[in-house]
Amino acid sequence: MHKVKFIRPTSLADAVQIYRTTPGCRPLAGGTDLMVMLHARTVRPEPQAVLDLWSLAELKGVRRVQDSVEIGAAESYTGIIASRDVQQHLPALAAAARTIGAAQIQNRGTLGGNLANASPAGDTLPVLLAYDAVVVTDRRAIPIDKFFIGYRKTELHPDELITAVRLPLGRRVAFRKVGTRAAQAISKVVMAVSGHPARIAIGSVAEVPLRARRAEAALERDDIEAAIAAVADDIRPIDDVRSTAAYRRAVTQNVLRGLLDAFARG
Amino acid sequence: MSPSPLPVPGTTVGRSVPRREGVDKVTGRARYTDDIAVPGAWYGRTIRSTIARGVIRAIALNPAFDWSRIVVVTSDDIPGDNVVQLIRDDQPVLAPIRGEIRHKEEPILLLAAPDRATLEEAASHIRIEYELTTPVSDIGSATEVFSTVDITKGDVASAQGEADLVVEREFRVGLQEQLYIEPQGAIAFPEADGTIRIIGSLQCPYYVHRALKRALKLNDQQAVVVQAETGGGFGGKEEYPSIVAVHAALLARKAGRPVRLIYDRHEDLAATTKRHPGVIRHRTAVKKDGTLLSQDIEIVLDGGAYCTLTPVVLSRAAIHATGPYSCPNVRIRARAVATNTPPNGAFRGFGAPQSLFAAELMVEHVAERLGISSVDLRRKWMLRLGDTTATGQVLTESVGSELVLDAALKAAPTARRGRGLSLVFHGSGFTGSGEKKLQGTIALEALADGTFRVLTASTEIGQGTRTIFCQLAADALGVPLERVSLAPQDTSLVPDSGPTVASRTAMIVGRLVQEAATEIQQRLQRERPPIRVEKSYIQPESIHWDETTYGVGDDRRDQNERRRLSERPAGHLPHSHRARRPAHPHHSGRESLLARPVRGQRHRRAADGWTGAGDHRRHPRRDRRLAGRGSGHPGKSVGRIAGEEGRGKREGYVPVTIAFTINGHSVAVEVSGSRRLLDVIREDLGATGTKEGCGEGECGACSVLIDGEVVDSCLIAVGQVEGREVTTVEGLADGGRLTALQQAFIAHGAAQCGICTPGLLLAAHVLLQHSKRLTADEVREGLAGNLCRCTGYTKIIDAVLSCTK
Repeated sequence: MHKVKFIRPTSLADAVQIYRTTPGCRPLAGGTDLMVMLHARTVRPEPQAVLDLWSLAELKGVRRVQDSVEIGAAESYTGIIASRDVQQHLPALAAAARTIGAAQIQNRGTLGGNLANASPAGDTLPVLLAYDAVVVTDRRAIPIDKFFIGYRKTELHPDELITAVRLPLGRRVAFRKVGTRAAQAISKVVMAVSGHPARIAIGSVAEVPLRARRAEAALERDDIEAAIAAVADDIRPIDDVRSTAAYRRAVTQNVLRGLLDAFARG
Repeated sequence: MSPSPLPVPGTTVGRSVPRREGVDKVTGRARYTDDIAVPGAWYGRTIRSTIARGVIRAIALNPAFDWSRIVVVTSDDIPGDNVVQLIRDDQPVLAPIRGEIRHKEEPILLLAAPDRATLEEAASHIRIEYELTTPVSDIGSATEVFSTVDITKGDVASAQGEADLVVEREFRVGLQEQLYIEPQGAIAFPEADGTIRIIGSLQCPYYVHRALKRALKLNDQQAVVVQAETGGGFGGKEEYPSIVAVHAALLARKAGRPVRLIYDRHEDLAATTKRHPGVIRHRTAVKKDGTLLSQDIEIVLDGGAYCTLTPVVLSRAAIHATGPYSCPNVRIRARAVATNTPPNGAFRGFGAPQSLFAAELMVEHVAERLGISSVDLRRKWMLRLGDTTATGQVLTESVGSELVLDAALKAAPTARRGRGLSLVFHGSGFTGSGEKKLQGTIALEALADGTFRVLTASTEIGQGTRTIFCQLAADALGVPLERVSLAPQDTSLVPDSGPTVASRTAMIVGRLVQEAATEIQQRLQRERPPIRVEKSYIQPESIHWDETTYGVGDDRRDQNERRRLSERPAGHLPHSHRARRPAHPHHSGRESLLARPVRGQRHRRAADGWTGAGDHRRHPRRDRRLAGRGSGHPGKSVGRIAGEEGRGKREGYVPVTIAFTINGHSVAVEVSGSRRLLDVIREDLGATGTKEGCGEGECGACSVLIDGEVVDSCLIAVGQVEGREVTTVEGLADGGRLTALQQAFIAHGAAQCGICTPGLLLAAHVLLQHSKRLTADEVREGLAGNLCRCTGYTKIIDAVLSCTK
């Protein structure tokens, strides 16, 4: 049986070094996804070491950096919701964070985890897409629309760690999540929309969180009806235990209408 | 005129009193099956089929693996009949070697090992080869019929001929999981004289007793079944625990030592019984003015692979099929069919929710076609005093339909939002002539020291049994409640009062307790204790029920009526259906025995209805306060605790020493850093107040505080709490004094089965730490990560609000 080593790095530099040199190493932040998989032994390949990033100070906190807000990859959703900068400049991100799990999950869940896990249903991911966020790693900055490359596949190299997420100031984004219940629900459809520039980002409707490019083009022309019509072709929903493709398609259009109406009302 | 005298007996019933085990449940002291530490016990596991239908061709144990430390049980090891004792002898305890497999997850082999790691490894060295057959996967392709029910009243064909309008609709209802927060589990203890003792999470000790006797060839005394504190049942622990217990017993018998067989949530969801899915067709004939002429109803329920309790479920579905409406001409044709899916079984409502769901939607469809308000249509159709039901029962007492409909309409806001309404009735007591067959028996003892003891096999599963029986006895005896105790639910001590189902505990068994108490009270006037009185159910002469014709007389002793009215956001198109403000006035005949539990039951039933309606798809899918063990110097380091001994030992880890504080005591454990904090708390530190409900961060039963923040301890690697402060439910009460919140939970009846209580207390504790001014919505949001299946949350929210300023 595997010997799983639990590694507690002393600094980010230490963590980066360990992650690059330890075979079979899995980073662990809040554990809301990975701990379930570790316990059920469904992590493939089976990890030989777990690298605990949770308590690294460099990965915590929300700070203003020039024209953007930078959020540590291991900052909890609770910390994000409580941040004045987020409340003031990124209210849609706070709204998305509030819909994740409940208190227990918000106290542990992180943006870094949501990104690395790359679930098409990740609740913050459409918001990050709508803000044109930048994923900062130990070696580079990756624009969010280049980040998701396939079902639970990301642009990250096998030895690359996410350290922060940067979001621009001064953009108005609206957010809506539709799930079975208000808390503890995995979304059937999750959406974030920005009017200027036109961004329509949707989760749970394809193998990746995606931007509805045709709908965005219509929105750019201020043709709301065309955007609502086009969004149905932009998405690739499936039938699964949580919903049906038909329902997701109908709800996507309704949610888009709702969010655009809200914009129109100001 | 003299003032009316105080009732001499009768001062206890109807009064809200704190539940008997309330303090244990709010402090984490209550011991559920998996909380019971049994030194030397082995761990058991069930190996199940991975196919839905076929024949077992071969079972191969890898010879390269060391099997000497493993106990393997096959169907050849069953000393008695390879049958799960229930209604029909069709379900094997274990699929026979080279025998037929009828559903996925069917038990084939049982394993036991001294620790979990060895057990897991052994399981990976078993290969089962099958010969596949095409499975029957749904009702449409099913041919085998378990049972049928036909009910006829009047002449449906002629009524349809006279109708202005005949509306036809088909409704489909899906599987539904009971979702008790404590998964199934049992511990079996073999004794030298051949006795097997079972301690388990269960509703019906004598069901398990009979199953044990049959499969293990034991006599009445050799099979002993004891109910542990049980974290919810909702029907899911009516018949299934027989299988868990017999499996554990077979392993313990062969191992010659105690074996614990505790399911995790995945196994529980995949393998245990669910609510029967069904297809229900209605053909309803009406006149233009809405007059109901006939109801022609066809019901097909999917029983799954084995019969279990299906005929009785079907019976209840058929009896309730018309809804609470008076109709002169009724034809109900119901059948339950077999499919190659895990067997379905008991779930609160027991067949009635399926048929009532269809009946209520049918009212809406007919109203729409007629252009009449469905409220008016219900008022026109509803059963009233003197009406006759489809089964020929003349309603001669208390029919509350009008009352509840008015109350519901009054309670429902008339805002812009959509409104939904449903009117339902539900019978109490075992279905059909079940009570006559069961002949439940109880005993009551007057002891020499002036106290009294109630002996029943009816279990406390959150609904208040322990308290209700004591109240009923105290009331009839005219003694203070404190002088009445309840014997443990142990088949070697208590008579068979029948299963804990169908509201019969209070209705039927409660009545027997009352009768026994009255008799003892009279005998005490001339005799000295000890006195023991036994009472058995005798069917009143006014009740007649014919199983063959399905009619005439009272099919149930009482007709309860309930109604639900709720608002739903009307939104122009579907988003999500969220019941904003459900109101559910409830007419339950006489004023309730125990005000608090009844209120919880009612809220929960209503919530069960909501989940049922939304869920149409298949979802296959040691009491010791932490005194820093060994030291007794709170706050000081207590040295190293050699972790993972006995329970849950895993070989494949690199141990590290993790030091942290728990409930104010410093501890250091030597474990794998990636081990779940939950397991370390429960197994290494012995603080079993923290419960495992799902292991996935969904239910919140394992909530603890880390540095004052609430987290799910199943999602925390113990290595992550190095240097941190952990608080569990055991750490809430200060020096044995309950906090205001714990007291409020007891006072408001917020702890029912109690399995979710520790987690909820911690989540609520944090909320109150952050703010003393909270609204109900804030409390709801703050507690959204903690699932409770008993209360419907209302009492929990009230308890928390009572602690705000």
